Amino acid sequence: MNERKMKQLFEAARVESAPVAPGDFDTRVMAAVRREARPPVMATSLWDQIGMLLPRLGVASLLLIGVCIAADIYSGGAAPGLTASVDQLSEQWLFGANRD
Amino acid sequence: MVTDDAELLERIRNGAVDDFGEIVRRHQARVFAILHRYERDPQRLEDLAQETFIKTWRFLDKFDGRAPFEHWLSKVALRTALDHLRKRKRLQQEMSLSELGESALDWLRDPGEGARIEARQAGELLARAMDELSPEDRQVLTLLELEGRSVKEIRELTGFSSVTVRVRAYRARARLKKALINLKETSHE
Repeated sequence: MNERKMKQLFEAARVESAPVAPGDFDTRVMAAVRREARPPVMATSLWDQIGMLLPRLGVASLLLIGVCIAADIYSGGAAPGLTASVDQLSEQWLFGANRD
Repeated sequence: MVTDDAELLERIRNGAVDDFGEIVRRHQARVFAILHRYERDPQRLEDLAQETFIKTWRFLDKFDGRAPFEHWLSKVALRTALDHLRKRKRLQQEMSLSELGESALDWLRDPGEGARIEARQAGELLARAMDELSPEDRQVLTLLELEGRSVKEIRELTGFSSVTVRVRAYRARARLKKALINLKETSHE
C-alpha cells in the first residue's frame, strides 16, 4: 500500500454521493421535536406536593395567628392589664419575704 | 416564504415550532453527507441525522448567529458522529470482509496502480479500515482527506489546536496504511 494508492482510494471515496434522506424525514424529525416542545409532566413527589401546598399553609397560619390575636384582644377586658400584673408580681416576689 | 436562515430561526425562537421543519428540509442533505462518512448503515444513518436535528432544536438558544447556521449545524453533526463512533468502538462492531465485496478486495490485492476502484467500494473499504483508528483520529482524517477541509477549518469544527490536527492526521494516515495492509493480508488467507 503505497502513497499513490492511498491517494487513489481517498479520491475515489471523496466523490461518493451520500444517501438521500427519506421523503418523510422532516415529518419524523418534527414529530420528535413536538414531543420535546410539550411542557414536561408535573412531578408529584412528596417534596413537590409540599412545595405546591406551601402558599396555602402560609395563608392558613396567618389566619390562625390573626384569630389568636383577636381572641386575646377580645378577652383583654376581663383579664388584668399588663401594668397591674407586673405590680402584683413585684409585690409578691420582692416584698413577700418582708412579711414574715 | 422566509429565505434567510437567521430570520427563520428568529421565528422559531418566538414560538413558530413548525418552521423548524423548513430548517430540516434545507439542511438534511448536508447532515446526511457528513454522517455518511462515519456510518454506512442506512437505518443507523437516519437515526443519527434525526439525533443531530433534535440536538439542534434542543440547543437552538446556544446559537449566537456569529457564524453561519450551517457551520454550527455541521459542528452538531460532527459531535453526534464522534459520540456514535465512541459507542461503536466500545461495542466493537466491525464490517466483515465479506461485506466489502470482491472488487474492493481485488483492488486492494492488486500490487499495481492501474486498477480503478468505484466510489462506493472505496467508501466501504475506507470505512472498514478506519474502524481501526480512534474516533478522533478518524474524524480528523475524514475531514482532511474526504471532505477536503483545511487545518484551520478542522480546528474550528473540532476544537483541536492546529498542531493536534496535524499530529492526529499524520498518525491516522500511518495507522490507516497499516490497517489496509492487514486487510490485504487477511483477504489472501
